[in-house]
Amino acid sequence: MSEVYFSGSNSRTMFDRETDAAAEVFVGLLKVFPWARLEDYFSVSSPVYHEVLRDQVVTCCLPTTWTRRAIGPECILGTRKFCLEGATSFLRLYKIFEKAKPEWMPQSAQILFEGTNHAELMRPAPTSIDGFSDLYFKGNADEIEAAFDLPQKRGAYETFYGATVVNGQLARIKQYVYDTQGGFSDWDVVWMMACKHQSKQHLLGA
Amino acid sequence: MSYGFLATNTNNQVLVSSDTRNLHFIGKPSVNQVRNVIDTHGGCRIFAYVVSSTVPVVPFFTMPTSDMYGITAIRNVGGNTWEIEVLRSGTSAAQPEMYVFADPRAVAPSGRHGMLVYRDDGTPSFDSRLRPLAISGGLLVAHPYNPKPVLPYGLSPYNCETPADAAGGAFVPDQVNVYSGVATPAKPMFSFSSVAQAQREAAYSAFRRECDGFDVYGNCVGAEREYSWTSRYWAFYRGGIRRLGDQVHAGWVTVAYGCNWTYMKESAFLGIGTGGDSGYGGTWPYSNETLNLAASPVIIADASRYD
Amino acid sequence: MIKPFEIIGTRPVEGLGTGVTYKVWRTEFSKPGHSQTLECETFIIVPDGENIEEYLFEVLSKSGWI
Repeated sequence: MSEVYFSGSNSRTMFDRETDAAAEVFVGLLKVFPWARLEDYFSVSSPVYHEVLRDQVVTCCLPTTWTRRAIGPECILGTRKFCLEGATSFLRLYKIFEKAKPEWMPQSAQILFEGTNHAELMRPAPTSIDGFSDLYFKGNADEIEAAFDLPQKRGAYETFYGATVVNGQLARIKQYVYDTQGGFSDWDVVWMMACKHQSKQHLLGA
Repeated sequence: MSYGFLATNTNNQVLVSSDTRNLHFIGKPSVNQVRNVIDTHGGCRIFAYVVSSTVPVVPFFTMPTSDMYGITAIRNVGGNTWEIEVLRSGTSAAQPEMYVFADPRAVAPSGRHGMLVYRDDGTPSFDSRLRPLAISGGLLVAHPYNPKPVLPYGLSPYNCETPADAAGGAFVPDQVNVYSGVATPAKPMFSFSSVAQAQREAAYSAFRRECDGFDVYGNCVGAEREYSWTSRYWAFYRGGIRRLGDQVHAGWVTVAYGCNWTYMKESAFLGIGTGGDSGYGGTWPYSNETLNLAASPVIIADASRYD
Repeated sequence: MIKPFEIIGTRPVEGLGTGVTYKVWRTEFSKPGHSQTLECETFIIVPDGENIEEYLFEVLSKSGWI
């Protein structure tokens, strides 16, 4: 089970923790972050250049039991992002999006989650993390590709999108492509379930 | 005073007076019983001695090993019978020698030569036939607040299943206050009452999530169950001292330990119970507390005078 | 600032520092879909002059929790 996202000429693959690919990535990670533990995560991504952080970033997904214990039940997912060249790290926390849709979003776009960045105690974080966040959405692929001038990249099973917003302005769009159903492919199902769990049924009618 | 007897030294300190009573050697009882045997958690033995005396007794003990020692009880168990308990850490078979002192009313002396001083009520205050107690030194000791500052990762949260020898390793007291330059005679004996007490505990919990549906980014779509276990391991300590060369260390001895556990599914109790313990039940009124840390006296004398 | 532990309570310990009751946790996987969070609640004394959170972080890192 894996996912791939594309951002311009950059792409990133997410691997299950038990795979050889994840282990290989982690060997490199440990050289910069000797305190990291593979068993703390359920998935590990390939390194990818992050256009806003301007660094190679590895994303590791934390189990929801940890995230909910550390943050609270409103957190759908938590990831720890490791910036390899700067030797910094931070947490990205994903919650149900409840704000007004930005005007630059296409009409069909439905924003599901917002990911915000947070420093951790005693772990140096990049200085720029407070200045940007990400919006994760779905919508009509034709309209979205046209609105953001994206190449046609669509999964046989599902396609989702991520928008990185820096100081309120769109900085980049990521295309998440899924050809088969798997552990990362059903954001909309998780979103629906989370709305019900968190008594936010009013969002389901939107 | 117009009558009586008074002997002082060159510092004008009272050595013998008919207004006071000197302590005298009344016996060297053997160990009557070994109690509270603990072979984990750093080990513990309590040695009980029995002695006969018509007045309260003052015990001194030797320290044949580098374990921690302390007097935990001096009690009258009926009539003229006194029971003395001495605590020792560790698991060896070594036993402290016990030297018991009391004022000269305690026992009837033998012999007809020496010096006998009476108080104004006619009872003896000093009797050289009974080998008076001669103090060679002393100090005040205080115990560190926390017997075990850091507990490790890894005690089992499941039904207290970490066995006592492993859990005990986690709770072995490792903190001491060191007092250096303590001069001692060739065969030192000590009078020290174990007053300081401490309790330490740690609750280890496990929360297990099982998903029967499918996982999407760690979120379960489908049937999900959550189980939780909590095991609360605890140990109770009493203060002790040990001698290492010219140092006296004030540290701790584990005298009781135990564990309580619960098991729940979806917040409903599935089980509750206790793990293997040292025989003490219930819950402590103090949690992670230390009591009676005021400095305590250690009196030192030469046991060879009384052998 | 996200912390990997929760301070439940503090009390002064005269002459030594601050007594801190805290919880710390870490998560393990037995198999996909089966995660387990282990948590410990216990007590430590943070010496006078030390930052409580930084001291706790260092102790928990060395003992394997973090």
